[in-house]
Order: sequence, then structure tokens, then C-alpha cells
Amino acid sequence: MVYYKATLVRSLIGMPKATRGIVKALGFGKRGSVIYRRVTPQVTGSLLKVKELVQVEVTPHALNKQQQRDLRKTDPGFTVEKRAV
Amino acid sequence: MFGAFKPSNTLLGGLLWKIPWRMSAPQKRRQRTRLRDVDNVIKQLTLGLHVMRSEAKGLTFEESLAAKKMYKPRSEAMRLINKPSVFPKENQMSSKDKYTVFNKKESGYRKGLHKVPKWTKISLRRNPKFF
Repeated sequence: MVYYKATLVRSLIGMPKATRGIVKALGFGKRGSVIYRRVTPQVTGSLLKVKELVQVEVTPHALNKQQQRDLRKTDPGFTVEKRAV
Repeated sequence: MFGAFKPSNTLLGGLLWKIPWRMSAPQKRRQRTRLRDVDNVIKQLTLGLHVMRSEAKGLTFEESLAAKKMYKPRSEAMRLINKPSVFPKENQMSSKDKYTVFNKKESGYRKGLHKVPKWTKISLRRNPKFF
């Protein structure tokens, strides 16, 4: 399975309603938000319409919110072996 | 006549926007980066469609990336955007096209791209032939 990982890198301030609609329909939130979408001609067409505002990568996997958050986590420097009850 | 009430061109003449007639070197540099960013988006979108069709044929993700021949996109819009005659890449554009656009009211029929509203968020790559 192949996915587009797209990031909204430019803000929508001053953009026409049609563009805002496309960006919203793709599932973007604020600037910097990331979406994973399965590659289909439809999604490709939508991303093409907002090509100046987004950054796109092709990935074999889609990450959910938790996995994306784990990627951003810093290394704590220790591992928890056992927790006291 | 001091401070905020000092007479200046802006205050006396009302609306006065001072946009220089040509772009500065850093402006041009940032513009080239934006052009390349858009090129990269188009490249990735095309690649995604290629991988999608390769996977439908039974290839894995890595195999389809390594494939020598790439599938051409089937949609009209995607095929056109990959054509240099419709949407040239940054390295295929002349500096004239990168930093200026056709304008019928301007003497010389060209004006600076930075005079176009929202010029950093739109693509204006093709200009009329011979202008």
C-alpha cells in the first residue's frame, strides 16, 4: 500500500474560498499539520490543486496520531524495566 | 511636525506603496526555492501514482521505486503538469520567466513577479510566446 504524507507548509491566510475548501477536504488543520492519504487519482488531483501550499512525500505506511507523537518524543535516556505497584 | 505627524510622502499623498521595480537577490533566491518545492511536490505526486499502479501489478513498494520505467499518470491534469511546455521545472525556466510575468499594460510587456498579488502562493510559469 502506498500513501502520500502531506504537510501544510503555507498558511491559508488570504487564500480564496475554493482553495480553503480543498485543503479542508483533504483533512488539514492548521499550518504544519500532517495527513496520510492512500494514493488515489482523486487525492492526487486535490493535492495538485494546492501544490504551492503543501509538501508531499510518498511512504509505504500511514502513521496514526500516536505513532506520529512517538516519533517526536525525545530519548529519555533510560528504560523502565519494572514498575512498582 | 515631529514624530508620528511628520509630513512624509505616505501621509501627504494617502496610499503610497513602495514596491521596487525589480526583485532583490534574496527575493529571487527564495522564489527559486519555492519553484523547486513545487517541482518536488509534482514529482512526488507522479511517483505516488506510479507506485500505486505498480503495486496493482503485484510489485512491492521498493521494487516499484527501483523500476526503470515509470508509469505515466493517466489523468489529464497530472500528465499536463509534467510537460515542460505547460509547466516547466525551475531548471528549465529562463530567469526572465522566473522573476517577471507578462503584463499588457507595462512597457516592454513584462512586470516583476513580486508585483502580482499573492505571488508567493501561486504558480505563474508560462508566459505568452514572444513576450
